[in-house]
Amino acid sequence: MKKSNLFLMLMLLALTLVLAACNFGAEEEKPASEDGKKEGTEETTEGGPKELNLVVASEPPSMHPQLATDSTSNAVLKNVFEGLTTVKDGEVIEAAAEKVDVSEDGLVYTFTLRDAKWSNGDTVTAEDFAYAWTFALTPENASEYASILYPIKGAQAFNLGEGSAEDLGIEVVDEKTLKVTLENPTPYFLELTAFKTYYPIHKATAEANDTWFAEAGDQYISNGPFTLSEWQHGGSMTLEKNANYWDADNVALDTVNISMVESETTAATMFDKGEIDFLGAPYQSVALDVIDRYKEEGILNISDYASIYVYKFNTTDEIMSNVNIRKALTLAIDRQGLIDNITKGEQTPATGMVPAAVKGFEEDRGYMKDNDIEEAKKALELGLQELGLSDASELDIKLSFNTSEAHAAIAQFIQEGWRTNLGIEVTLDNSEWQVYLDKLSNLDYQIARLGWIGDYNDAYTFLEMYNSADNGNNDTGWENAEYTALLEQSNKEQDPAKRLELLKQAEAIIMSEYPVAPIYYYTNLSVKKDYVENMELDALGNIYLKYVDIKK
Amino acid sequence: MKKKLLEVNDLRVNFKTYAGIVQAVRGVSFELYEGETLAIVGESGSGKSVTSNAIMKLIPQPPGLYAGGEIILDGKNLIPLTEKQMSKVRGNDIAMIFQDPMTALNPTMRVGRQITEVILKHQKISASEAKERAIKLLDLVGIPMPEKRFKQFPHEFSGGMRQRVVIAIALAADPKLLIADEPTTALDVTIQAQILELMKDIQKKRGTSIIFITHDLGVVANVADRVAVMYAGQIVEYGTVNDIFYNPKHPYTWGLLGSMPDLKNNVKEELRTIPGSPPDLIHPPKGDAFAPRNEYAMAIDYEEEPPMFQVSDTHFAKTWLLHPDAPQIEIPESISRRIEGYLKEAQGNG
Amino acid sequence: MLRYIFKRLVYILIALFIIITATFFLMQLAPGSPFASERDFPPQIEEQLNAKYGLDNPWYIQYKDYLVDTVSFDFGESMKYKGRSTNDIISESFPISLTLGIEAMILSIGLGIFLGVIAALYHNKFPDYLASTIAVLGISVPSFILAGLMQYFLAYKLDLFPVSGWKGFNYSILPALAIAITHAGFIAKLTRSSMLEQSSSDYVKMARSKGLGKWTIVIRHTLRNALMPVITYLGPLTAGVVTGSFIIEQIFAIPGLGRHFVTSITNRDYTVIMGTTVFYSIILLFAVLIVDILYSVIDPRIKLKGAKK
Repeated sequence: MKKSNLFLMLMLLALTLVLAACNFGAEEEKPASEDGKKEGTEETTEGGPKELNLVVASEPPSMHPQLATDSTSNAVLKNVFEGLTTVKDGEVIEAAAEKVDVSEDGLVYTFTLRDAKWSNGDTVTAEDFAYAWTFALTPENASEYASILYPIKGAQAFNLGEGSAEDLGIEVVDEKTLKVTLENPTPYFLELTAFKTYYPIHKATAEANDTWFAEAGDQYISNGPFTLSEWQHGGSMTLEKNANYWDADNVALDTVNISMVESETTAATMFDKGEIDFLGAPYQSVALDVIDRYKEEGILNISDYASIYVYKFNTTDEIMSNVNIRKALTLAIDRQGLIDNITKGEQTPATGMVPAAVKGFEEDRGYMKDNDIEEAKKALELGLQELGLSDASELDIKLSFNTSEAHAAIAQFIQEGWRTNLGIEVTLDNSEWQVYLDKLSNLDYQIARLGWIGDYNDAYTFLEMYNSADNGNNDTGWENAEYTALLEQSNKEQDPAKRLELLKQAEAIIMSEYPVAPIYYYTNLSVKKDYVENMELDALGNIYLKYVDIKK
Repeated sequence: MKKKLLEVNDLRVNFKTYAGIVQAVRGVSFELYEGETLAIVGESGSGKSVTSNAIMKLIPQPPGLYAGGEIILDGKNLIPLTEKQMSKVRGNDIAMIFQDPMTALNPTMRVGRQITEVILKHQKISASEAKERAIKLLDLVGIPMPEKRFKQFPHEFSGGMRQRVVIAIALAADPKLLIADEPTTALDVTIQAQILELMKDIQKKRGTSIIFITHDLGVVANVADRVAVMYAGQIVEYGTVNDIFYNPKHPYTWGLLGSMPDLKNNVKEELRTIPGSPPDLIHPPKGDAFAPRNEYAMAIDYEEEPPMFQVSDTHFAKTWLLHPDAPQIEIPESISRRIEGYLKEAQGNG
Repeated sequence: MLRYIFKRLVYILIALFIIITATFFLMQLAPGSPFASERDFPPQIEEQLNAKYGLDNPWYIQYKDYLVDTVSFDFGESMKYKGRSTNDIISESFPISLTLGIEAMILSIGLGIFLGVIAALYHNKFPDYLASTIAVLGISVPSFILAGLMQYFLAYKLDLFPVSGWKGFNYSILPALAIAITHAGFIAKLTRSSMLEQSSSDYVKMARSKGLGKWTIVIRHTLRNALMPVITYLGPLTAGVVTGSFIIEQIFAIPGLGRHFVTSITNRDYTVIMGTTVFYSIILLFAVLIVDILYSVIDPRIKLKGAKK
């Protein structure tokens, strides 16, 4: 009798402790503005606070501008920080910098900062920029995106441990003046300064606390239109309008609620129900099975995206080293059919290496025709002869991709096309992402899929990776001296029209040797509620919430 | 004149099975008086357990079914009573002592509680009073240190002790009738004797009537006042203990008595058995159910079921041999000799 | 009892040791690295990263560090989520999974036992068929399908619940149900068969013969004995449910621990893998221990080996 009573009491005690530890997630609200309701409820002050509800697909791995690498972090960082320049309506405009002076030879950029404050009231100084960029390049910080700063003089050497910080072409002239010296006249440099790795960070805070970026709150100081006011890891983030932002008057939104929802289906249901106001990259993506419905409802927005989906060929492989085989395979892909039936996102068939969304590359350069079976067959004949084979069925080719339904579907479609039209049997090989990346970099494949998203709106970012077989992003083993020379030249060419020519010439070379089979240029699909205004994706897939307004 | 406690008239119990409807009890009638012990004997499948369970209406319906007859306890017919009404009868007026003391007790409940719950169900007394009574009962059934034992679990008792507990539980609400379903079969012989003594003792003290189900004729000789011999769902012979042992009239009873091993007198003699096996009760035969195994069977045994013939005021047997026109057949010598010797022994021990 | 617990604790330590050693070597063997990315970066940077996390040390040094970390319960910084310590990740997400898990447990045990008892008591009648069918459906329909259906109908169409997230009690109901129904079905079947078995046992018949009412018998006698197998099932069930159901958390966007178990592996986030594995193992091992102790309390016949009576 007694024993079971004691036991019962212990159980109750344990249960109480456990219940106390229970967490139903009803966090105390930081009443930055008004009430803590989640759905957009009205309040009394002039039409109510404007709240935008969004979702992202995962917890951002890092909210440090110099350490972040992925699109989710990017989506948030773009709105809490601001770089020297920014992109609006496809054009580069000044942002944190009021004025930019470029030297004649295109090597020296002098940025004059405007009067702007950090979210804690401190002035944004040139020192903050210098500190941030140096941080990115410091080898010990192991920033994975440091290479985007390499156009700066001495940057690459310093980052690889061969130089010193003093030799960097970054000079703080005075509090409001930053002078940057480049290695080469990089014509797209002002596009780069809009990129997150070039954002400033609050030097004093960063020096005092090396995990200042891991939580929202007082330590997370930023200079953009919004502040990161709340961050429930794995759950949600809340952005509040930054009262200290220099252009705060033109920011319409008061709060942005970003929940982390991994499942596309859940996100779509949330949009249908009205729990979120916008759905589409970078704020989650429109699930394949609802595309048709949204199209019918007429709310699906399709915008061009400066990204390309390709199949890379391992040119060091016995079979794939033959250019005619590569040509045959590249030509015998029915891109439009793929887009109509499998990907369904009204993408554009890729017949070049640079997406149509990039300025100057909107027109088809005429390197090849989509689904050109005739030419493909001719090339195949030639290739087989050169390899000393008599029949296509003797070819033993593997098509690799990382495990995903989408990639599998695309691969199957293309595999079928190759079999029917060329008589080549290709086997499919899928591996887990980590393993797949290993395979790519070790050249342990024959054909492999890859996507490349442009960091800045210039053809260079799509062509640069093939400038040498050793380039970490090449993965094909292909290189061409003339191609490399053209690229280097284009870096030094200041005249935009001439530069464009050079880049196109380079593209022509790579499109004649087929180390890569371009498949399609991405599009971004999105849906939004009609009371949301000015929320559009630019060619780089960015959305600037600064301009978004809610008219309810 | 003793008062009649229980009267069973033409009780019929069927079981619905996949193979068909089994007629387990086919018209059983008997009477029981206060303070008396009735032994129901028979082989496996004769219907004795079903009869005893039926008296307390413990047969689960389905698959069981009370197909006819009456069970009149103290003037009240139990057959039409609802479950709720029966729950007032069970434990209170009639209690059962089960065969296997190992499984009859709830292994996770303390023994004391298993006794008090009967008391508290049927009598309005306080818990502490019930506890006192329970301890007294434990003492009554011969369990030493009853206060300590009250708090213990069944697995802490030996087999014989457990059976005593079962008896204590049965007696807890002071029932008028105890049904003991082979209470000593699962115990070894020495314990057996003790339990039987205990039961006789209780009967003397409290005047409880006992229905004793068994297949062991030795036990019958020891405890019974009256005996009912069952075969194939019917009582084939019915009388006092003396009637049955000294003057059995049914060939089946002869067979039963004759099949007792006689260790004292004739070790070398072959064991007598009744050849054959009991009939299929899904399709009971139209005549005497025992006919196929009866060496004295006549043609009519296969045609028509014999009625109960009266041998004396107390003695009845259901066999055509008792018909005035039947040949005079007496119990075989060998068997009657045996019985004598056996009874002598039983009396010697009694 | 204390001696028994002490003995079991020793076994738990041994089991833990084996588990973390196996995890370590499996991690080492799996191809890929935490820093692999589509966009390549210079090998010098990769070296820096490896140095930062001690991945450039020979395996035995890494193993030693790993053991030291486990003992001191400090699993270091996550390799994927910069600036966040594994301990923080676990301590923030575990209470959420715990809450959800406990809710699911209560639902599944309550519902399961209820269905099982009804099914057993009305054996072969309509309530039995109904309860058994519900149970089988619960077991066969995968939890993510249930989750999806509930989300669509109850949250979206009928607007009774929020679609996803974790911001209050009513956010927890649908996911808890989704997890619970499968287990409830299993418990129901277990309870039913156990109840049926116990119902035909002698002591139940004896209880009837005492004149006890039907429900009294069920609750006081049959149920207690019938629940033994259910309690056995509860140990591992609790540990699994409490530490997070990955799929449900994903569908309902719940920031729990379940997600981290799986994603840490695909991310090759060694520190988090280590942290979550150790954490989960401890919970599981203790859950089993508690169940064993619970047994001895509930069933007086069971004497734990090594316990003094």
